[in-house]
Amino acid sequence: MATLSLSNVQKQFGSFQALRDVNLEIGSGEFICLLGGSGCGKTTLLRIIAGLEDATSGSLRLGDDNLADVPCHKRNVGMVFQSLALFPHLNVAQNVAYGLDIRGVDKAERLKKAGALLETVGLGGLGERPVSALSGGQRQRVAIARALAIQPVLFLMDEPFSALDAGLREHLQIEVKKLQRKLGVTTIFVTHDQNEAMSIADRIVILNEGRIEQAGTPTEVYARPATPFVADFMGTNNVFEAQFTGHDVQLDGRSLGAPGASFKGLFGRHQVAVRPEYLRLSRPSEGDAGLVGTVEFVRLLGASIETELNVDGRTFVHTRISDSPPEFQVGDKALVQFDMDHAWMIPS
Amino acid sequence: MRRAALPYAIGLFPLGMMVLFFVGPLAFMIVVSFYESDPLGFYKIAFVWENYGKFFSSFYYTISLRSLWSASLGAVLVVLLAFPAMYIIVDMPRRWQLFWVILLLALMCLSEVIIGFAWVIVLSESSGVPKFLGWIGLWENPRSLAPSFGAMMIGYITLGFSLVALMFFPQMAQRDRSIEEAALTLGTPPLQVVTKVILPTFRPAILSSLVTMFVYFLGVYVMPTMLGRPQNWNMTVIITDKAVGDANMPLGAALSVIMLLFTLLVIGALWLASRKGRAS
Repeated sequence: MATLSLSNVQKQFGSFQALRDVNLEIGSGEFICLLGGSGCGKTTLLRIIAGLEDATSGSLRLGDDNLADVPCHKRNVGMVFQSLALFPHLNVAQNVAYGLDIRGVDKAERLKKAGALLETVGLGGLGERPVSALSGGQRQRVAIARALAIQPVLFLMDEPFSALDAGLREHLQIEVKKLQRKLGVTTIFVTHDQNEAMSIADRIVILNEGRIEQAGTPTEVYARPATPFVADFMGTNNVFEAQFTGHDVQLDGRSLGAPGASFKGLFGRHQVAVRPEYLRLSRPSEGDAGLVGTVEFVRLLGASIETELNVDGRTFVHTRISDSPPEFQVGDKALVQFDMDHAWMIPS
Repeated sequence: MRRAALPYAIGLFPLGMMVLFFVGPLAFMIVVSFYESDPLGFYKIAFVWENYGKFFSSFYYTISLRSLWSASLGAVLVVLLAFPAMYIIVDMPRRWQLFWVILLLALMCLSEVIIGFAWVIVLSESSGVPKFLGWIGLWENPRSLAPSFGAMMIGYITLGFSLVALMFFPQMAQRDRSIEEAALTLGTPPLQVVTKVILPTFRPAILSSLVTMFVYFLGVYVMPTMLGRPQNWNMTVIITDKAVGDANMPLGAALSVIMLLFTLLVIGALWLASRKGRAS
């Protein structure tokens, strides 16, 4: 398999610029997640890679081949659509074997391969069923098996799990990741769900208004967001503009403590992101000069407790492991402190 | 008790309608088909097979086959034209879709007689297409194109096109376009997508349109008489001729019953074919 290279890819729909100067290299066997909100261009980019849309300008290369010269039906990409797009007139095995049928594989051989793939995705013995008789999760697996049956050079998935309930979605995420590792197929997965991207991707590409904001490993984009958008999009980062005085970090004239090692000797105003787990909350003492806020919302998220505070009109979010009941109730005052060793300066 | 009877009471309404408008007249027609014709009136009460026996004369037998042929051909032509037309219309911008749907609905408002007359004029030697072709030199000795079997088919198509196109509209407009894209990504050449995916996906709708048009064209009266030659006339024209013109109601009724059985046979065969297609 070869590297997929996208250079200066642009896409315009009338006056709407869907993609702007997209440059990306996807290595063989990589699992990439295109992540972003609605209308950010992630599905358009996936469709351009599949050959279902043409780029307005820019180039797409797969190894030495210029993909722009290859029509969709000759690209050998397996794609799982958001609607799944299973063929209603074919049964489960026929759906999976469809691509092989088109490639002229004889009936016995293609049904054998379809059967093996159905076993792999956990649908062994269901080949004769009509697709309308399957549950949502089962249909999902059929769509995955159908796309993989043609042994694609690229495996593309367009928000395939968006219609499933949370439990099934997590289960299928794990299965897809295992399957992708086993087959070693280069995979591009479109999602708007940060947690989904974090849990399955080798690399996350965050798109905003048709541009790549940041591409990096889940840890990189989570812990070291390159732009305020990424910091905001990748969850509940606390982003604020702080004043660095070399030995102290201040917010609105109040000290947040000494800067971490990476900020030593830094001066001036800089945007800082601090993950919610690196905030500390404590009961304020009378006349405390630190950052004191009012608790506005407390919620239990299974393994963690999330507390939202309002500090002079700014919202900060704190999370901690839910090994004990919440210490603060809505309306309580809390002193907010930051672990500046884990703060991240967003490049300006 | 009263609550349990309510669904049955509600069901009586459609049952009553069916009996009043369909079963009643059909039963009366079947009964009349066994009566004797009376040259002085419509019929004499009797029980004879004579009217059914007449069907097996070559005259009626040939007309029946001709009716089946013209209705089948008309149905196939209408579906062949309406299916791709509507496929293109549903992918147009919204306002163009609306324009075409309104136009198709307007076409359905036209009476059969007006459509027939319009085609008689368009196909006439003196003022229509033949005259124009003669005038531009493409036809040396132009002659009228109607009445003819072709003109009758054109009439059938005009009658059925808007109905079939509108039958396809909801399903086509709501179809999942990504199914065709999925076929492309799986390696299907664009033209093959039509035969491998689009047509099989729409098979039930195509079959029901074919049946609807077939049944409709078996019963048309105006188009064959206005645009067809006597040798193109279908059984409906002959039944009308016998029942009304010759005042032979029993023969007309017997021929109608036989045509009804033919129609049921064809519908049954298509239904079986569609079931077999789904199972394979």
